[in-house]
Amino acid sequence: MVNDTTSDRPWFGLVTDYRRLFDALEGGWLRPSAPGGQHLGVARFIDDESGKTESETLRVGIRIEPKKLPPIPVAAFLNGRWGSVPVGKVSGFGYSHLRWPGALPAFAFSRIVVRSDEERDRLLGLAEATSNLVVPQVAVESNAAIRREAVRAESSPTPPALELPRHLDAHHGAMSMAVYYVPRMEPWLRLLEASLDPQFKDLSQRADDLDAGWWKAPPWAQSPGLAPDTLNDLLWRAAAEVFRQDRTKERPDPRSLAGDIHTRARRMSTPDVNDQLQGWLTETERILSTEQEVLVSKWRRNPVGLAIQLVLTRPDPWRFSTWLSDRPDLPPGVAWSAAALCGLLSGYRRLEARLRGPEWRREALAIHAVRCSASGDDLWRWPSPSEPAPHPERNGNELHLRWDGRCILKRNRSARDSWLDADFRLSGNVMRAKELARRLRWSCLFWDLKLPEGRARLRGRGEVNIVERGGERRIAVADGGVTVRFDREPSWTEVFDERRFRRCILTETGLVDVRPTPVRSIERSDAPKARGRSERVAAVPGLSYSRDFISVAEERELLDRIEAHQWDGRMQRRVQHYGWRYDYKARRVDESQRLGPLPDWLDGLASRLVDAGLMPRKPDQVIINEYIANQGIAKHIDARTFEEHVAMLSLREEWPMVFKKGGRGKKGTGDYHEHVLAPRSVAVLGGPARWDWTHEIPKRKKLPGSKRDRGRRVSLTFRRVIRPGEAGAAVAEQRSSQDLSSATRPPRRGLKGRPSRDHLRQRYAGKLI
Amino acid sequence: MRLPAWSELHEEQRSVLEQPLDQGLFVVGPPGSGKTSLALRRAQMCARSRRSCCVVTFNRMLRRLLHLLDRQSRRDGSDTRPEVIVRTMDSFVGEDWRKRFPDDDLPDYPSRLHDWDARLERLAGSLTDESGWSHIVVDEGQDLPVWFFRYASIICGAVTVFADEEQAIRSDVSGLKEIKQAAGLPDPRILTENHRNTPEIARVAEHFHDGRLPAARVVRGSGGEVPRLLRLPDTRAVAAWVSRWFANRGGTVGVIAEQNVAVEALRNAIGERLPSVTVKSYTHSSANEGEIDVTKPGVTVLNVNSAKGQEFDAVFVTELERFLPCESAQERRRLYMMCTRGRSHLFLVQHQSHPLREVDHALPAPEMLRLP
Repeated sequence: MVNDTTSDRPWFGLVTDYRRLFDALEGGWLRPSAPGGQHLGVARFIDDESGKTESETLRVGIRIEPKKLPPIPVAAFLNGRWGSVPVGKVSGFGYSHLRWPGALPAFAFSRIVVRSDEERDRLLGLAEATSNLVVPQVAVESNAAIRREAVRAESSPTPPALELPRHLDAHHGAMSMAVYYVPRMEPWLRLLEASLDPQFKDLSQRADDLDAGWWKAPPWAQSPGLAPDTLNDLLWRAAAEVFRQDRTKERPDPRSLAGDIHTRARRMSTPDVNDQLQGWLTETERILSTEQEVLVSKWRRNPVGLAIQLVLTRPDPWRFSTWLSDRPDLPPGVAWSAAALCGLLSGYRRLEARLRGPEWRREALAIHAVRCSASGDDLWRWPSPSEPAPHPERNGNELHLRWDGRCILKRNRSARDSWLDADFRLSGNVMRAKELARRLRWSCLFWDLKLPEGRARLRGRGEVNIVERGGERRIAVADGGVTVRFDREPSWTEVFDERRFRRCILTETGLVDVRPTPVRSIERSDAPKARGRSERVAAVPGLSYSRDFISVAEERELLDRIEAHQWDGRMQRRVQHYGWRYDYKARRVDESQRLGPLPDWLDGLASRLVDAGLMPRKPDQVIINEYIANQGIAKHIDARTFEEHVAMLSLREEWPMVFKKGGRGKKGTGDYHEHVLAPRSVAVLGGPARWDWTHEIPKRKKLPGSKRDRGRRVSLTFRRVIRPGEAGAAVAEQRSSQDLSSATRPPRRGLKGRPSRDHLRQRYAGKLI
Repeated sequence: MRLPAWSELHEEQRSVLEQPLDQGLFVVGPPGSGKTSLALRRAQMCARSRRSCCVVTFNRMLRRLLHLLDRQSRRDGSDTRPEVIVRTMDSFVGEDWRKRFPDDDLPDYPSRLHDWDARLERLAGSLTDESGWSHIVVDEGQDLPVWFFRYASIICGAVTVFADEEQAIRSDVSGLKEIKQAAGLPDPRILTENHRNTPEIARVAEHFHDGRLPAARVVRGSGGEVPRLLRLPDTRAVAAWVSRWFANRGGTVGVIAEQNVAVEALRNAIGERLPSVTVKSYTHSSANEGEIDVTKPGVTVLNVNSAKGQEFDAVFVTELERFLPCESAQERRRLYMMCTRGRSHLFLVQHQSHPLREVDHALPAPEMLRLP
């Protein structure tokens, strides 16, 4: 005997062959042993299959939990008479058995009872030999416990029969697959929620928002909510009708399924879609006879058509799942729609155990599938859930789907989901989003070309026209394009369409865990960690250094960007100026040298320096220096026309920078420090490092600690110009300097024994940069 | 090989799996009747119930296949069942004998010793405890010598044997009666059904077979797709076709060729087109059996001899002109064997430049084999 806490609870029991139990576990329902219903013992096992002993191999007792059954009146037996009693009132009132008027849900099985350890092993071993059975708790009880009490076939009142609805298995399968494969993004979980809602609340809106309008009619919906005059809706509806047909035998040839879908769609379609339907059929037939491959890249033409092709090529659920590993770049909506269709075609019965999910999900979906499939005034009414449909929740890094207080689905948030609440005020995010969009060729990047006033010469054979349509003017270039030559530089701006980017994140091809991911805003709790990566260099007070401030991919992109712009080669080394042009002779900048705001790609980095806590205010001037081989820069202190903090981002090669206190520190003393600047690192000068120490790039031939020749280093210096009109500048600077504890204000007077600032300035007057 | 859904398990298979685990069992059936997977399932059921159980096979290929299949089902099931132990007969006997009689000088390959009577008597006489095995499952029992079954029944209370009389590949092997007697088994359960191929594939395969058909009734439901004949100009075209098939349908794909040169050429050409997919080749001479894993989706190119005993979702029999027309019963059996390697899809690939009339005459009717 097994002791456990459930033994005191009311239960109904029956004895049956293990095969019937397995049939029930497979389909989710135990069909009654006779048309009139299934006899159940009250707190004991009874057997109403006497005489039916084809396979006496393994008989099992099944315990059923009454409160998991819909509360309907049943026929129950007491003192030699049958009466009609609500099922909840049967236990504890002396009834010996009852007749359940229909199929019993497998989730109500609380325990399976066998008579020996060998039988338990065999039962579990048999289940293990299948892909799709999940057996409830199995207990071994003495022979006496499983009394095979036969029931006399006396006449009993006939309560209304519970019929399992048509298409139940198909709908149950589709629902289970839809839950299992829902894209790991909150809006898709919301669409799933609406599709499971009995009233389909907000379903249309949510479907349209995800460019998946066909989900207006979920595969388990009996009443189609589609007006099929578009290719997608037509195919979706036709496929649902074809796939939900009951197939107890094996599925027919995929080619004939494609033909059936086409025929049905044709019957519903308007003539103008017929050609498109024919096109889909031809393509599908070519795919099925291996004349061409499934075309994922053109999915937008006909997402439903693609989803159906995915199902027809790999129809079994276990085979279908290989699509998701072979093509992890499938558009989320297409993959999900296909998964649901695949479940509809195969039905719940053929779903592997993992696709059925844990206990709560199995129970919730079994009930819901009956509700969705039953038509009219059905009896399948469980105590209604407090929530009509499961609702999604973000919980840290996870997405949960909760129903009636239970979690029926737990998934890690995808990288795409993290983009949905990315803060695009952080320019680092704009930069990363653009990188993503460029790499995956998502259409959310545009170019604004501002043409200067005047006339420009056209070359090439192309023809240029201005077309007006719908109040919009467009330039139309035909016949091979043209080249336009301007005598002044036209300005280009890259425009990032955030709304379209969001749409791409939700619907476009590419991994669901896209890279890169957005940076979190600095207010978030993990910001100190990012700041903590910057280390103070003890030898030079005020110098801080951060490795890997940017990624290798970002470095490559930056170098491409830099290369795409004009170098100024008038100096010994090549330079580029942004924000403000710096006058090396006058050692200052003024309004006349303003070049305009930093371009996007530098502005993003400037913001990141602030976000990472490396600079108190956003820099507005950038000088890019290129150093080749033994080129260097003499010792200097950056001009006072810039605010205190100066950040230097290094690219390509690691070259050393030498710091000398007062400009004359000797090697081997504490006043001399050599710091190797790794590629992608940022060094920030503040306080003494900014005002009291000179810095330089020594002219050397070899890379540090190596026999390799120096090649090329590119450095980006970020500074902020002190503007005369900016009264608050100094105060802001003061405050932020305190925040950045390493910083100090420039000393008004030189410290004792050390050259004063003015002294330094005189000495290095020509070298202030 | 994937586990079947409960409703896909047929009556014959169910009735074998239902047999009590603490008793002996004798199962006889033709190729394709699923003996190997039933043997594995029985061993797994024993392992689950903590009965120490060993599967004994004749050759290493089968041993490895069983091992892989067992690992795969554990991977899917994520449970705590102990792994099934699989041994070749030689290593099983060697290990067991040396444990009992450490001083006895037993050769490395006990199967080469013919006179076991004295040894078996010594074994029976010296038995002090249970051998440590509570169940021994033998697969391809027809390939093992009779003395082994006596050996097994002496050291272990429950012996299960799966065998196929027709399939015996050696001369010193056992007949079914001898096995039954030696191991003290009940009457054999006879399997008659082909669970491996779709009826469409079985029909084409049977066309090439003219003797007594090994597998009788095909019970796998129709896969719906009729086998196809492809006429392709060269290796590159074959590779393109196979790659396209794999891109659309996935699963396990076997490409069979006669010559090792062709095997390598195909492997290289397919590998080029499917850089992210596992493309392996296997010839009888290359000793890479340890690498072959036909349970994972991917393409395996192999020569005829290595194809025996393997199974794929889709099979391409290339160099058809080298196999057709068949001139002997042996050649016919070979073609039959190749065709039946495919579970759901079969393609016969013919060189375009060899449109021999003799080959065409040897082909099945167009309703059985879709022509280009």
